[in-house]
This record gives sequence, structure tokens and C-alpha cells, in this order.
Amino acid sequence: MQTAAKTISVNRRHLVLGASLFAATALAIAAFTGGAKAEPFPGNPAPAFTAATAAGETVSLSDFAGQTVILEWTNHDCPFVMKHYNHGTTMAGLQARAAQEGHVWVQIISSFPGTQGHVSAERAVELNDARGASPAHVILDESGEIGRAYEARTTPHMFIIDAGGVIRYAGAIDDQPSANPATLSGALNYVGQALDEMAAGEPVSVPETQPYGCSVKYEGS
Amino acid sequence: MIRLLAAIAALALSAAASAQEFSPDGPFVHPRLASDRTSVAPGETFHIALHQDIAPGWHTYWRNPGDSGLPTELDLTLPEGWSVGEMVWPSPKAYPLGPLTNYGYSGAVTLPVPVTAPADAAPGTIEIPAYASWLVCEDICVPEDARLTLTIEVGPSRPDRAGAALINAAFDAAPQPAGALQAGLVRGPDSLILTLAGAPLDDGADAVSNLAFFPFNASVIDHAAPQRVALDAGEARVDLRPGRLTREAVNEIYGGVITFDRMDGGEAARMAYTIEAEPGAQVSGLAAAPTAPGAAPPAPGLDAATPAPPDAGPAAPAPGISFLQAALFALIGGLILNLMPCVFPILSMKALTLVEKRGIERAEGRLLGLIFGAGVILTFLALGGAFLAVRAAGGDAAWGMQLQSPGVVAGLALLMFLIGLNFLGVFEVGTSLQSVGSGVRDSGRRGAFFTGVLAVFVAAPCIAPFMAGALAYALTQPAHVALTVFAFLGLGLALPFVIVAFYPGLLAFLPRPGAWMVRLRQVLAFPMFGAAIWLVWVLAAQTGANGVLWALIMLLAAGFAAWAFGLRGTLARVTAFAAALLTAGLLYAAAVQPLAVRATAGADAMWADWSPEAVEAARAEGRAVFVDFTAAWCVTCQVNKLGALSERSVTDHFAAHDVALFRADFTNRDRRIADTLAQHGAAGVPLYLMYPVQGGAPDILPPLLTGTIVTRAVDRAVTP
Repeated sequence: MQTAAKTISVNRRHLVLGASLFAATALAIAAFTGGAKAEPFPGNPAPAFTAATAAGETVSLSDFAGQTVILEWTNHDCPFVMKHYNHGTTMAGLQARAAQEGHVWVQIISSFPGTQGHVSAERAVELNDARGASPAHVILDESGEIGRAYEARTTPHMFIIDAGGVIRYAGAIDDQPSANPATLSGALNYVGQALDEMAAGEPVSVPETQPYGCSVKYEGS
Repeated sequence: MIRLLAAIAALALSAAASAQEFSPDGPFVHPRLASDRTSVAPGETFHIALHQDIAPGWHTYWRNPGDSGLPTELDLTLPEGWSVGEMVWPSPKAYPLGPLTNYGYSGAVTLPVPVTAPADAAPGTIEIPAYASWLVCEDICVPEDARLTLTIEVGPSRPDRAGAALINAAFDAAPQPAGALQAGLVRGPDSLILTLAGAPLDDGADAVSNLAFFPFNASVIDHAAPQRVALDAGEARVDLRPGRLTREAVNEIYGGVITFDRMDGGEAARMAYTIEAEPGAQVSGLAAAPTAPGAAPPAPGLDAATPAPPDAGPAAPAPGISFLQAALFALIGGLILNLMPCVFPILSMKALTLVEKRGIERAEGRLLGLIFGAGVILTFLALGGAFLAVRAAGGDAAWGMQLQSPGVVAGLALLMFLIGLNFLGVFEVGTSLQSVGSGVRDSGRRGAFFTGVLAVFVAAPCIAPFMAGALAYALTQPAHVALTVFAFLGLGLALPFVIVAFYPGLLAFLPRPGAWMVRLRQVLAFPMFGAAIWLVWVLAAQTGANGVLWALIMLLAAGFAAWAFGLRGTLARVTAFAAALLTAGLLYAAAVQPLAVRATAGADAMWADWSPEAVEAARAEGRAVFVDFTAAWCVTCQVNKLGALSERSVTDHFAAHDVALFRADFTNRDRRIADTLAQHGAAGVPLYLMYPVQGGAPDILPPLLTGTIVTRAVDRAVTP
């Protein structure tokens, strides 16, 4: 009995020692990987933001904790955006779906005043009404601050943030990098696919793609 | 060159000739088709091109459009049997748009595709319809397209002069095919490192400017981030911000175009080369260019999220390995260390402990194994931390540095001597502890930890030559990276023993205990004494005869103390204590001996003392230069010195080619040598440099030399 007890205590100790050994190594590796500032890539925490919406509210990303959030960079005059709003119903369809499933769709316009796509709050709401679009919120990011934090490059450029605030998808709306409406049919919609997979509790199979479209019209562009 | 100038002239002419009116409402591109044949022979390959005249301020896109945009497309509807090849893309320009960057063309561009007529093409006039589509952007983007038709004869081949001029100009503006420039792409700790080597860069920074990389794939780099370029003769290094595909590692070959301006006879010419970057490779040892102070500020915004990494310092080496490779090398290096001669005595000691502890229970054996591993890894981490502290304090931290301090060398000699005496049975440590009652377990554990610590310390001089790359890498990296590499070195060194501790079944391969063990232990005392002799010899090189005298008296006192310690009785113990105090005092005396300056240098008449100025002077005389960076405490260095470098064939070869020979002695700390080692990516000695006659960077020879390696290096260095 005594021997057994001793063995157990030794086992425990060696477990503790082994664990601390591995912990030290893991710590070193974690220090390496965690050293970099979180960048707006899938798997990283989504950059926080607080902004005024076209409806006059103030929203923060943290308000939507526990919900899936979809960010859409847009510019209503960009031919690539028009493909999905005016020639097809890609965006409107996804926005309706998001609302139905309890997700929060945030449309973000990062066009600097005087550049293409820059609109007043009223005009932004009018545009969406006319296009049958139903995003939960429209943010006028005139300074481009949110766009830069997410490294938004094109319109459209899509992000999906999960209930835990982690980016799950970043990139193009679909696999047809073209402004030609003929490419709408048969396109693989990456955002729809990612939402399906997240709903099913599966990992997002295509978490990141090269976004396509017009450049986001930041200040100085 | 003339071809290129002609190309530029042709482009300028075509632009001027087609200076057209553009309506402010578009279209913003005036397209047309061109061909280099008015009549094509059956079986002939010729070119059809889309020529775009682009409205001022607008641009169309390259095959990789950059952060936004679309490449121009051309679809030809060819008759049955005709075939079309890949589009030829003239080298693009970068168009910054605030925090974004696009790649493309402004003014005008000609995009040819090769077309082959079938051998049985019927003579006559044919029409080739084409559909071209493109995106054209200023600050806004407009997709445009056009349906065009080219009419061409099938018959005897006849050139179309105007079309051929456009198409030839496009070919001249397109990059040279891959091959002229070797390229490697590797994920560095802070950047994506593209290295280039080849004749086009031969004149280095004197002639090459505005070097830029344009990847074919849009997800390889962050297009808008500044490209930091370092240039030297025949090589270049570009530090880039990684893109989506290269964020973790570079796993496949990525192609692209390198463009730069080359000064040639007072005129700058735009050069372009296709490259195929070898994944995970570095083809140049150049250090990263510092973040240029006067250069255009990084695009505000996107880059602000990741500020350019701070320059690692003026002598930051650029070893050609990535973080993961360094960790892997460190692990393998640690494993190999188990077999090294300077670790061997310690290894035998470990084996001995293992055999002695054979009777103990399995769990205890595992525990001992883990404690040993912890000792090794913690010591490596402590050493790594000490190195980083020294580096932070601005000292010269080269591996093996602790052996540059006479105190440490004398102390190690003492340790080896005492271990030898212990093995011979002059005194026992374990038994006395047992008798004090702390139990065999604790002493075993303490012993295991101490063995781990000792293994690292003694392994240090062996590590430098075999681990130079990983260590140089580690020592120039941020602290957490460096420490990880150190931890992996330790893991490698400890692993075999830990495995044996966990799988005692492997012990079956070890001999059974018996009387031979006592003899084995006694025999193993002699390698310990051998190690002590070597350390005293190092001390001789460091401090000269006086230091050796003090060290030997210290060993005498230590021997006496050990003997007295082994006796029974109070008097013996007091004597032992007094002798131990004396030993400590003598150790201090040995340690404070003034350093002998270059004690080993100049021993050989062929070799001159090294200095950067001496090397420069010899090179100015047009001589090839060979430099031997060595140290008395470096075994590999001595092997090379007495072996390859002393071979008759080598010395004769040196003499025949009038090679200037320099020896840089790193036995004692030397700032200039440490800097030079670092410049060449070496963490310690040995380092062998062979400077070629015609100038340029030196050839770095492997750490373990053979006569052939040296004579071949000489041949290369003297061949113009």
C-alpha cells in the first residue's frame, strides 16, 4: 500500500513537472505567436469600433456580442457593388437572411467626402430602400478609420464576426471577380457558405479570399 | 539596351500618335487590335495584340491588379484549328491610391497573344472576332468592353510594320524570362523576405535603383506596404509585408516580376526580370535594409496597424533561415550535441547515473529524466536570457563567450578536475548526502538537475560551429524568438535521455550492472582530466604562463581538499574546508590575470594579424584574401588549423596564387571581430572568408574544412 501511495505521489509530481516543462515551451511559443498585434485576419479578434449610423444611433461592435456580425464595405456607384445590388439580389438576399437568422448586418461606407460613394445619412437610407436592401445598420466611416482597422480594400469587401468577436471570414462576396452581371449566375457565395457552415457548427471551409472590386475611396486616393 | 530604348521610343511615339480626345463621360480606353502580320503563312506563329490608349489620369490593370481592379481580358474567336497562347504582359507600374496600391498601365499599353495558324490553313482572307474587357480606373472605376475584328490574310508571310512595332515594344517592355535572377522567398519573423541573386544586379547599389517586386498572385504580399530594398553586388534583399498566402509560411513557388532602373553609361534603363521564388530559401545573406528615414512614409492607415519592424542594429546578420527552421535546426543541433566530444564526458556521466539507478522504480526514473530535461532547458533559457541581457547592454555576445572569461575557464577546469577525482573515488558526494539523511531520492534529483545544467555549459563550445545559423538568427531576433530557439536547443540535448527515462525498455540495450561499473567510472575520470587539460590550455592562450600557474596551484589545492574531504574525522573536514577556501582564492587569482593580447596570433609566419584595414589594403593590391576567424577554445578551429589549413597542397596553393592570409583571434573578446562575424551571419568561430580578386562579397566556407574545399575556394576567388 505504502509503495503504491508513493508511486502515486511521484506520478503526480512528475506530472506537475512535465506539465511545467511543456508549459514553459508553450509559453515561449505563445509569446512568439501572440507577440504581434492582432490583425484583421480570420481567427483573430475583430477590431473594435464605435460609430454613428445613418439612422442617428451610436453603435459599437461590442453591442453585438453573442450575435454573428456581417460587415459589408460598399460604394453604391461602384460597378462591382452595382452588380450585386442593381443587377442581382446577392446583397439584399443575404441581408434578409441575416435579419431572419438574428445576425447583425452592418454596411460601412468608407468613402472620403468628395469621393465616389460618399453619401449623406439620408441618401444612404434612400439608396437602400430603393435597392430593397435591409442592413441592420449603415455606418458612414468618412475618416476611413474603421476601413483601415479592417484593412478593407475593395467594395464590396466582406467580414463575418462570430458571437465571440472573432473574425471567421474575410474577403470577396463570391468567386466571380468581375463587374459583369453575367457572372452572377452560378457564382459560389463565400459569405452564404460561411454562414451555413457556422450555423451547422462547422469550421468555415474558405475563411479568407482575395476581395475584388473598386478600391475603397479613402482620403488621398 | 538599344532594343529597350527603341521600345520606349516606340511606346512614346504610339502614345503621341494616338493622343486622342477622350470624352469626360467615357469611354476611357480606346481599344484596337494589332497584328505583326498582314499575311500569315500556314503553320506560322504570329501575334495579335489588344492595344489600349488610356485617358490621361486613368489606368488599366496588370495580370495581378493589386488591391483592387481586374486584369484586362482578350478573347479571340479563332477559326477551327487555330490556337492561342498566353498573354504577354509588359511590366506594370504601381499606382498608390491612399492606403491601397494597384498595378497597371497608363497612357497606352499593348497586350499581345501568340496565335498559331494550322499547317493546313486555307489561303484567303479571314476575320478574327475578338471580345476585350477591362476595368479602367481613375479615382472611380468603369468596366469597359469592346467587340473588335481583325482581318488577316492566309498566304505568304508578310509583316505589318506598324503592328509589329507595337508588339515588339510590348515584348521589350515585358520581363526577361525566369532564370537570370535566382530568387528565394521566406517568411521572416517580421517580414516576408525576398532575396535575389544574379548577374543583372552585379553592379549593386551603384547602378541599380527603384527595385520593386510585382507578384503574379494577388495574395502573396501587401501591395501597399513599403518594400525595403537592400542591394549589394549581384544580390538584393527586399523586405515585404506578407499577404494572405504567406502570412504563416511560404509553401509554394510564387512567380513575379522584378523591375529596377539600371544606370548604364550615364543613362537609366528600365530593366524587368521574371522570377520564380524558391519557397523557404534565401539566395542572399544580405541584412534587411533599414526603414528608410527619407523615404515616402508608409501609406497611412493600413500600415499603421503594423509598424515596420525596428532595425535590429547596425550589424544585424541575416542568416538564411526562418523561425520554424531555426527551431527545427536547434532541435536537431541539440540532438547531435549528445554525440559531440565535448559533451561525451557528461553523457557518460548521465549514462552512468542511469545504469546505477537501474534498480529504482519506473516513476522515479521518469522523474529523474524530466528533472534532467528541465535542468537542460532552464539552463539554455538562462544562458539565452544572459545573452539577451548582454546584447541589450551593448556587449559582444558571441556564443562561447563565457569561455572568453578566464574565470569561467579556470572554474570549468576545476569542475572537470573535481569530477575526475570523484570518479576515481577520492571523495564521494552522494554518500555523504545520504549519511546526512536527505535520502537518495533527493540527491538523485538534485544530481539529475545539476547534470542537466552541466551538460549545457560544457556543450557550449561545440554549439557554435554546428549551430551558428540558428544562434545568429536567435541572437538577432526579438527576445521571445531567441528564447524559443534556445529552449529547442535544450529540448534536443535533453530528449534522448528523457526518452530513455520514459521507456526503460531501451535500457535493455545498456550493459548490466556489475563490478565493471566501478572500473568504467574510474576510466571516465580520464576524459574529465583531458577536458581539464584542454581548458587549462585555453587559459594559457588567454592569460599566458602566470594564469596557468595559478590555475594549476588551484587544482593542487582542490585535489588536496577533495582528498581531505574523503577522510573521516573533524580535522579532515576542517582541512578540507580550508583547502576549499584556498582553491576559491586561487580561482580568483587565475581569473584576474591580465588578458594576454593575441597570445596565439602570429605563431605562423604565413599568417598576418587580421584587421578590416589590412584586408582592404590587400584587396586594393588585387590579391585574393583568406581570413581565418579562430579561437583557442574552439576545437573545430584547431582541427581546421592543424588539418586542412596546414596541408601542403593548401599552403602551396595559397602561395601560388599570392593569397593574403589573415588570422582573426577571437580567444579574447574583440569588438571588431564580433561585428565582422555578425555581418556574415555567424554567431561564433570558426568562420572562413575567401574574398575574390575582382571584388564583391566574400565566399563563406563551411565550418569544417578539407584541403579540397579550400583550394577550390581559392580557384574561384582568383578566377576573374
